[in-house]
Amino acid sequence: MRAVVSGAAGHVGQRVIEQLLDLRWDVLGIVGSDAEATALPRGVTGKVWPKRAGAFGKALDGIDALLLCEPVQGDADFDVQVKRTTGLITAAVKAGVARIVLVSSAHVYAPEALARGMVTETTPLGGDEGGNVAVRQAALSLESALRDVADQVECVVLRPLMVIDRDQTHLIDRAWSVMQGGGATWDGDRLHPIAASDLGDAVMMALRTPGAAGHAFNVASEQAVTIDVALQEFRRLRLVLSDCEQQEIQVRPPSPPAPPVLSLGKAQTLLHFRAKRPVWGLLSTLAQAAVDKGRAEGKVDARKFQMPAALLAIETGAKPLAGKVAVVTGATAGIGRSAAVLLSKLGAKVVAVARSAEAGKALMEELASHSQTTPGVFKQADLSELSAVRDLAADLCKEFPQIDILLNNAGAVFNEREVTSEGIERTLALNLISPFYLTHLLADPLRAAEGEARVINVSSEAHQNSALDLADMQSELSYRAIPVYGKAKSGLIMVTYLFAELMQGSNVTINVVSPGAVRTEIWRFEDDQDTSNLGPQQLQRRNAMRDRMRMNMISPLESAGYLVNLAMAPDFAGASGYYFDKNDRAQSSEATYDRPLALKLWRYVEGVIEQTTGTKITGGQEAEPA
Amino acid sequence: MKVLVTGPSGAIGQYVLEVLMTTDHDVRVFALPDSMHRINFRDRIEMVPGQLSDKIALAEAVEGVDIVYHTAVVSPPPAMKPETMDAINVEGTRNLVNACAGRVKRLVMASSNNVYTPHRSSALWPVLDDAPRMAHGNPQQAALGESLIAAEDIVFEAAAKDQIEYAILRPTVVAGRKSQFIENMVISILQNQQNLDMQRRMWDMMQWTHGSDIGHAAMLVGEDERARNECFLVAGEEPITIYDVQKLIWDIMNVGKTDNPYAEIAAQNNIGIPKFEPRKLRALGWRPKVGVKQCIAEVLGRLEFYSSAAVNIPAYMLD
Ligand SMILES: NC(=O)c1ccc[n+]([C@@H]2O[C@H](COP(=O)([O-])OP(=O)(O)OC[C@H]3O[C@@H](n4cnc5c(N)ncnc54)[C@H](OP(=O)(O)O)[C@@H]3O)[C@@H](O)[C@H]2O)c1
Repeated sequence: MRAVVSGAAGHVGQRVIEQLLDLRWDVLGIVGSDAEATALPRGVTGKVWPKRAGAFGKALDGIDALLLCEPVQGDADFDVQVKRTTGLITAAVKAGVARIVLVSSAHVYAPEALARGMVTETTPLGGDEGGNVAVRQAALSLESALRDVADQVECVVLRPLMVIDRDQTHLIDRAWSVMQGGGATWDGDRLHPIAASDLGDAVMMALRTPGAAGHAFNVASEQAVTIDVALQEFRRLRLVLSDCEQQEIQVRPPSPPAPPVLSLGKAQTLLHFRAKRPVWGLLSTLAQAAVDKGRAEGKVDARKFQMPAALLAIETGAKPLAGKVAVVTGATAGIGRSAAVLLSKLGAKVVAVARSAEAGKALMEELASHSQTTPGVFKQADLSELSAVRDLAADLCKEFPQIDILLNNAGAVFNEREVTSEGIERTLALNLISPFYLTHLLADPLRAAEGEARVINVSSEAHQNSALDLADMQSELSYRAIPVYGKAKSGLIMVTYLFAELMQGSNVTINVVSPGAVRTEIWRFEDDQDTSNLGPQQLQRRNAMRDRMRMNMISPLESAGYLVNLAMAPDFAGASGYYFDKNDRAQSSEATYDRPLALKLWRYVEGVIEQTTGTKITGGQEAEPA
Repeated sequence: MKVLVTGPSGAIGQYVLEVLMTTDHDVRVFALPDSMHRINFRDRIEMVPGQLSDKIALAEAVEGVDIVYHTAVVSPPPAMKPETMDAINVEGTRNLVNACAGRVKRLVMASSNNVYTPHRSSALWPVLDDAPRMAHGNPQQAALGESLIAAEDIVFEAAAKDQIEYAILRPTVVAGRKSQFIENMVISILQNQQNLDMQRRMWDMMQWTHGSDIGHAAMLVGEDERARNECFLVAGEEPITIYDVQKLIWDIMNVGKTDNPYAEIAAQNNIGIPKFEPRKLRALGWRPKVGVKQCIAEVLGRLEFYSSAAVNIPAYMLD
């Protein structure tokens, strides 16, 4: 079977063509331009309207159906539309077409009748005055052209009042003007539109229902809406459709039903046609297109996904950190490893520090071999040994005159009290003294960075219940793993605040972050605990509990995303001396804001470093907070 | 042409397999030994038993294959450990990609719309094929998203190195014979007709796609030149909320009646514009054929709910 479809590039025509192709019809699409012709779906031949009306040559040979799918509405030149369509009808009849379906307009009815509503197909047509004269005249001419050939072919007429799709600029402009506070510019007191897709379906039913021949049908969505309600709805939708941050579900307020303008019974019984899209969806379609128009005019905020700058840059392949150096301690596992990979994807040269040479090598291979990552370097060091920190820093200062990011991430919890070879309790050494010392030692390359250099210290939620105890810094009197760890993390927060004061006015900013509860190896200290006194059921319960806890922790990658975002996102530019819970500014425990205590801690840490390494780090005035 | 389907008994895999039965391709499947008996068309296909962790079995499975349809990917986690999810989605995909590298022409992978960055606000609609990705939600949902993104990245990486070409499908909620999600939703509505508001909030606007439509999408992107190294959003045409599901259940169970008590609340809750627009698939000529109502009818049929709920026992029999 062969069909000719006019308005083939429009939404009604597209819908019709889709279905014809499904039914394996041979389709010729009549379009307005060559560009439209090439954009037609595969399997459809396109033809531009001929210059002389009706001059289709042999193109219409063997045609079974003519589907006239150009709605009569909008800013179209109706004279042209009528002339060329009439020509097409004549040519198609000559070519022996069996059925013609015409999309006409309900504006053929007398305007008084439309104003009254519940218009049936038997309502008198015409009238020269009132209503939408131009549309009425055009639609009447088309219908009369069809009546002229009704004795030779089967004809079906569809009468929509308003056809809606995303390209109906005249409707979209009106919706936009309403959204900006303008009044209604529609005739009548009600809207009773139909979706282009539904109209397309109606065309197909008109084509395929044998008993439809010789009939005209009103087609519209099931409900109408009053103009007042439509205006309210447009204004509501403007907010709903422009606020990208809005998370709340928006429910349309109830409104009284409006009696339909068109009576739809005939199409329902004879064609079995019911529009699928409710009127509200049609208003939304217009509103969405109108908001897009507002965006194009710069009057509505741009569409923007709520995404951290770091992750967005990685997704889009941007390399905002190209040429920058990022030092990440504890980079071979957990949060630090993910952070290293993210930073390297952002273009930074990552200097990864940790103890395990093997894991370091694996990381370096990964960074060097992936297409998205930037190669880095690995430095082996046990950061709980201050001499190792000193040697590392000396090495880094030599190799990297500029350092842009320092992520003091290495940290651990120890079940039993351990003492480093330098005689310092290991939790304290690794989680507090070491990042303090390293930051000091890298001050020069950080200052030398072009633009802002950011230092991020990784603390923990565990600091909350563990205030610093200057009397027992080495936990000699009592040792319990988590509180000892928490104290060290409290201390790290306190020295961060002081560091920020010291560095004020320089290009170096420093902040401290709680990375969330993260499912990493750090929790293995729990596995190491003695379970020999637990029975099988207790053990099972303990393991089940632990698994459940773990499933509710965030991933190292997510946590690393927060750290890396703090280290590079423009949102945090210049921010210094703050505590962040993930990416939100937050309050650390009250005890950490005790400045006199913090100063004592500072001196204590300096003292330990001086004793163990012999380095006197508080040389100049500015190196120590007053 | 020879093709391989991984996960041939899954929610997507079984439909890919079904659509393949209408082509003239030679079909091989790769499946866990334990799920062999659940695979359809066993008399017409070749079966290679194995796990995605088994590199030898994988090498055997991809031998001589032109297109791999990789659907052995775990989706919504019924309390699955992140490590398990990673083992299947990430390491499994890595092993498969390694086995395919330089041998198989195209890999079609079933990922999920879960990979997209949060898009709850209707101001962000319609979400398109190449919207940015970001794992999100509670830790379990995020773990799933992360594992799928990682799996996709493995595929991208292999393509960047010219080892394989790919087409990735990112379907929204999958309907069909094995859709736990929809089944649970229908059951919960049947059990409790009131108080759907919580679920309305949780699931927001949905756009289901039936497995058979995804199967057809897989065929298109497996062979069309235009689909080479592209990602495809797969979504049905009807944006719905749980209230629409409730309304449709009523319609199905009350054929011929028009006074649906849920029509108004469904209409009020439905903004009526699509959340997802599968633009690239549409350009390839893909059109979803199975509507939401039919998806629900399938579930109701499976639950044998038609008759039980439609029966109206005369009052005298109840005395
Ligand atoms: N996971 C959580 O829930 C959580 C919560 C709050 C805070 N944090 C903090 O986040 C940071 C990262 O923790 P994570 O969970 O990612 O831990 P993780 O998985 O145990 O990783 C720790 C990293 O630090 C390195 N490291 C450990 N001891 C070291 C030492 N003495 N010298 C040098 N490197 C050392 C480890 O590598 P090597 O073994 O190769 O040295 C590893 O790369 C820590 O500061 C931790 O306190 C974590």
